[in-house]
Amino acid sequence: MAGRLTSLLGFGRDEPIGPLDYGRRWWMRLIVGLTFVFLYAPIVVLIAYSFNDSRRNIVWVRFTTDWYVKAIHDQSLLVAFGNSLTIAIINTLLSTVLGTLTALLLWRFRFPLRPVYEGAIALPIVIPEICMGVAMMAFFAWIGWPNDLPWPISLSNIVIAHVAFSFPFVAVIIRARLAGFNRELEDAAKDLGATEWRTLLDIIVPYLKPALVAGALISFTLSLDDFVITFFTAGPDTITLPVKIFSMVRFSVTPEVNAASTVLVVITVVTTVLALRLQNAGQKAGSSG
Amino acid sequence: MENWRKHPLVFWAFSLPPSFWLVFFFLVPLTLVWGYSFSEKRGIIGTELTFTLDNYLRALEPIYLEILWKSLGMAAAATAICLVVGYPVAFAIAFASERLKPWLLLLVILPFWINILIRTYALIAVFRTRGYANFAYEDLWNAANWVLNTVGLGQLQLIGERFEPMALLYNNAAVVAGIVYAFFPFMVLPLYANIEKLDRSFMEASLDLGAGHWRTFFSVVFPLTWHGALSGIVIVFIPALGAFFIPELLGGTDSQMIGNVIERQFKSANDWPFGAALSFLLMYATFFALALRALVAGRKGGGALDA
Amino acid sequence: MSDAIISIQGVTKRFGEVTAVERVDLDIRAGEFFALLGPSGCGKTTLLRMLAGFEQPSEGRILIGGQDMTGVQPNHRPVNMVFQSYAVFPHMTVFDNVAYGLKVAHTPRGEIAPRVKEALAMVQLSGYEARKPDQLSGGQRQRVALARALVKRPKVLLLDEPLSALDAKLREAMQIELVRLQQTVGITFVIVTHDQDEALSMADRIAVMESGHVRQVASPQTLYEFPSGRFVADFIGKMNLFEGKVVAREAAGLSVEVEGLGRLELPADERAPAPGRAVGIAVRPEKVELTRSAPPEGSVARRGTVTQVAYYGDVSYVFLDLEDGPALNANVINDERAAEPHFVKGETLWAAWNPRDFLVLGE
Repeated sequence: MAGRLTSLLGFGRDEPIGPLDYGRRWWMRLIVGLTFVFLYAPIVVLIAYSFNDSRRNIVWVRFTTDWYVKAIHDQSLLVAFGNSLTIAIINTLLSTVLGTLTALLLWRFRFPLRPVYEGAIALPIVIPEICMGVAMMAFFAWIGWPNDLPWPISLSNIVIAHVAFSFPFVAVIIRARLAGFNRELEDAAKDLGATEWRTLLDIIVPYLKPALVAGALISFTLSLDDFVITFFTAGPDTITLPVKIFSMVRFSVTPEVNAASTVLVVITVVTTVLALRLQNAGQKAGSSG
Repeated sequence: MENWRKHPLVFWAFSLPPSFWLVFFFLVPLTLVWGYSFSEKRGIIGTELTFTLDNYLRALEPIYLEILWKSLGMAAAATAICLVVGYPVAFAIAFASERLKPWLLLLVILPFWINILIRTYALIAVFRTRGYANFAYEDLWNAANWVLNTVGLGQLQLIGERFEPMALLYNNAAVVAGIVYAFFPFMVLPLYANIEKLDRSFMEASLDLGAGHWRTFFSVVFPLTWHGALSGIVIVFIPALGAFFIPELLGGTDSQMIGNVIERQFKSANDWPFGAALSFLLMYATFFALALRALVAGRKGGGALDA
Repeated sequence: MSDAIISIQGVTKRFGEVTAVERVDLDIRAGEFFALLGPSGCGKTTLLRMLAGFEQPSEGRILIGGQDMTGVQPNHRPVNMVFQSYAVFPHMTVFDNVAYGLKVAHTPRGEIAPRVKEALAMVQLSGYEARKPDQLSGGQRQRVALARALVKRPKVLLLDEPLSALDAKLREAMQIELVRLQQTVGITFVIVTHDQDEALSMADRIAVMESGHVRQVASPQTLYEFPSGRFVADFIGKMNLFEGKVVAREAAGLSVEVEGLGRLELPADERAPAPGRAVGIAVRPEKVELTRSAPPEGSVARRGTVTQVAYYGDVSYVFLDLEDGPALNANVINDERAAEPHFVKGETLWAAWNPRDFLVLGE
């Protein structure tokens, strides 16, 4: 086991280092190692102390899951989590459909102002989040969005904002997959007598499946994770988990926050790794087929 | 690709729903804020479009100008740190063994998917006065002190009489560190993609002709990968400039960035026209950076969004 | 030994589980045009890259100009390389590319321009100084790579498949030009190639490599006429190979029983295997004489039927089935103008050999 570890890290190999073996030079490893420590140590500490039996996040006392139990019994945290999930699920459905339509549109058709359209679709991805946040806030105030809608209708302005920034991401993922599509398959289906719709349903959608799932999962995490845009669109009764965490963090650093954060981190990381795996598997299958 | 006129029904079915969303829930809100930036405040919440430039001119008042400069400075510092650290990390990944490479890439990408807000919060626990960075520093200090005492230099108090924790939080340096922490992966990925694409024989040719590794980097590698660096710079600098909860959580009273001022104008000060103008200053900077990158990418003959 | 500019001593190179080069010993003489020839994956490029310093041997050592190169970085070696992809820096002009190695070595400013000019003249690229690589053809880019390496006045010039990216016509012209250039500058050239015609026509000596081993080092003619084993015999040129068994090995001659050819009496060969052992008997297609009438006394002759004639202009390949089974390939030189082929499919001919032209190949 130790031997495997050292060989994985590249130590203990007797092969001499070549001039371009930058990955095997000690100073490169030092920089990379320190970078990863900088990137991961805070998160590891955060997660570790969500299991620490001490109110002050300083010294390790003993393992406990009390903070999770406390977090579950915290009504406002629970409501925020429920809101986040509800928003994320509706957002996923809408942005997957819209993103797929966008990708198919840009893949399929030549039309006037196409370059402008492509640029506009990329905008939500590139502009600073805060600009989009205040724009959404101003927009809903301007159209007089009511504050007293019943749940879950009350979440719909957040959903609208989330869909606006996540469907372009879905479109990017689907377009990447479409780029590898063999147009002859479509021609073959039509040659065999399939209509436009049948071709879409029988040939293209099955081909897109891995990208569809990956896109859906990515839009789910984008929505679940979003803080800035939600911060500007959420009302007092439509707090989401990141917004709740922000207001808690602002006042104090407590293990409950760590516990709530850990839950969010685990959900998004697991979803994303799943999405990446599906996308990779799809690409492999696509390239061999 | 085919002309939309050939299948107008399919075309409209595909284009209407996303176009509707894009126009009404994105472009209209942006245009609205753009309009506000040329408006005047009327009463408590009212505004009137008067095509005034006062809101932009107000941004040039010393108090805001200082914040603008500071924001630019901190975003630039963070971007520079990302670039300087990003190159060796991207190098190490590009030149890692095939077995190790996907894992290193995953390690760089993974923080993308951990909520930035939570990561910023995690930094607090590490950097505060009673945090782990200071604990490590204290251990180092104690060790050094013990060494000095042992060798008989204890009286000179070369490293101070007593351990003093460093003030690592609530200052500009903490904000820069926070921005680096948040956006570092954005820098590594385009750099990695460009170094990976770079034909190794260019580097070998340079070494073969007698150049050392540094000379090879500056004469060959950097000139051939700098459009990747430019992509990285743009996609780190833009969100860094617009950061608002990072300075809010990690900064001190004098670490405000434009984002904080924008937030205040919309959330508490209720001066939407001014906030809108500041927000659009950010947008103009964004467009400028993107145009610059597209120009360079166009000249290089590559796609603008290939990062 | 003293005139060896490169001495490769017991060199092995492993990449993880794979051994690319295994216990190679090789001396390359000063001023010679030396070729490393072999099929892809035989280790020839790895060996060349070890000479340049891009790979370090796992075992053994390499001496260049008498100095041990172990641990010496590529930028401190007295050799320069022409890369397969040429690796002409795309962001520099032709002048800057050629001047790069001189600038790096802190050559006095006044010396750089004349030396670059001289090097470009040598490769016939005078006047191209200000061009960028993307304004050059493939052949011109290769000349830039040559000038860039030669301007450093290396002890050895290494060329990694230098002609593989050129089209056939240009390749032939460059073969002649490389030989001329090597004779002009007098620098040792070591070229890696998988193309036997290239190696045979250009090199003074050739090392044939197979799966990490050097199988034979010899002049082109020796390799062709006296290959040391089955691999070299089969790899270089075309060959008719028959399986046989040694019947008698005496001072007067060698007696072999060959499948399909019967008993052959060959000149004495002390390297031949002992009686009773299996042996390969080979003969080049151009050493076979085809006649319609019975061949003269003293030659080995068999009858066969023409199955196919492939016409190449200067030569025709005639494929026969011998009466006792084995297929045979013979070259006929078309040295007389004729509208009709000399031999036609279906006709029966005599195939004759001089017994001296048979090669005896051990296991």
